[in-house]
Amino acid sequence: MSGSGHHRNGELQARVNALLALAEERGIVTRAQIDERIEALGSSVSPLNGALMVVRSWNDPAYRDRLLYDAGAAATELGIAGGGYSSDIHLHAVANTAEVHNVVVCTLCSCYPLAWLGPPPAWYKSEAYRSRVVRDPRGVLAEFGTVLPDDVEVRVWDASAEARYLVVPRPPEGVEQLSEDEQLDLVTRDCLIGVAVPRVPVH
Amino acid sequence: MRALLWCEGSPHETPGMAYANDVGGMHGFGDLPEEGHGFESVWEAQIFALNQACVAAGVYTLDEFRHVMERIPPREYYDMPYYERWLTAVERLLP
Repeated sequence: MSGSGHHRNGELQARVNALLALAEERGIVTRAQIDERIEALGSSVSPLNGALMVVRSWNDPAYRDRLLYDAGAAATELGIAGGGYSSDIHLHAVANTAEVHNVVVCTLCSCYPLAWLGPPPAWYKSEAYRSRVVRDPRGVLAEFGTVLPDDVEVRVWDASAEARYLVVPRPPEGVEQLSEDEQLDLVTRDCLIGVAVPRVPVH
Repeated sequence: MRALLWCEGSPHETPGMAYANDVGGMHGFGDLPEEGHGFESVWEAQIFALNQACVAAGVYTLDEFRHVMERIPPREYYDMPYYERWLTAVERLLP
């Protein structure tokens, strides 16, 4: 099982330093450009991007149609770039309904809609989640506190290098009484992966 | 393009493991880890960003990167922390 590797940080940092020097020498990328990418990962690339798309779809049926038809274009429409790697990555939005609940995994590695959700959580990358959510999705969802009625079908989407998935949760009851900012707070990263559903807090 | 892996009512069996990374349906990987930050050390964020930059620059493709990482022998693969797998793959692709 993979550990944290903290006790080997010095050795691993040295190996990365050697690669960074090599990449700079070859004119592939400078250290400053690496730092800019890391800075972007910490700020502009976050689950707020996915939440913006979901909340817009709750309040604008025409946007919802466009989102489900071509999620990448619907993201660009809101000024959210597909960023990072290349145009080979396609985003697909899968919508929860009264009958169907969607959840996302990458069984082969850890493909994740990073540009729209930020860096993935540790559990998404773990062998435990990747192996089990395809075998016992209801059990895994229950561990996240999401217990689905038996008559709701669960669909597990296996992401790949080219195809990334964003779950579009259903608007919870009472959501229309909230402002758009309050609605954004409900759409957490876990809702966008499909291990949670948005809930309006009870006052 | 779309890969719907599993849905209720469809026949499904525990598949064989082709490579160490192919864990869908496997037993024995234990509990989900605690919630952690995206990156726990500077080198993790750096190797992540370096890999992004190499793919963006066309040094290699994302598929090549994955392929090299997936060919790490299972015993080594599972001894490595997550981002050391990335580092090992980039070391093999960049020089």
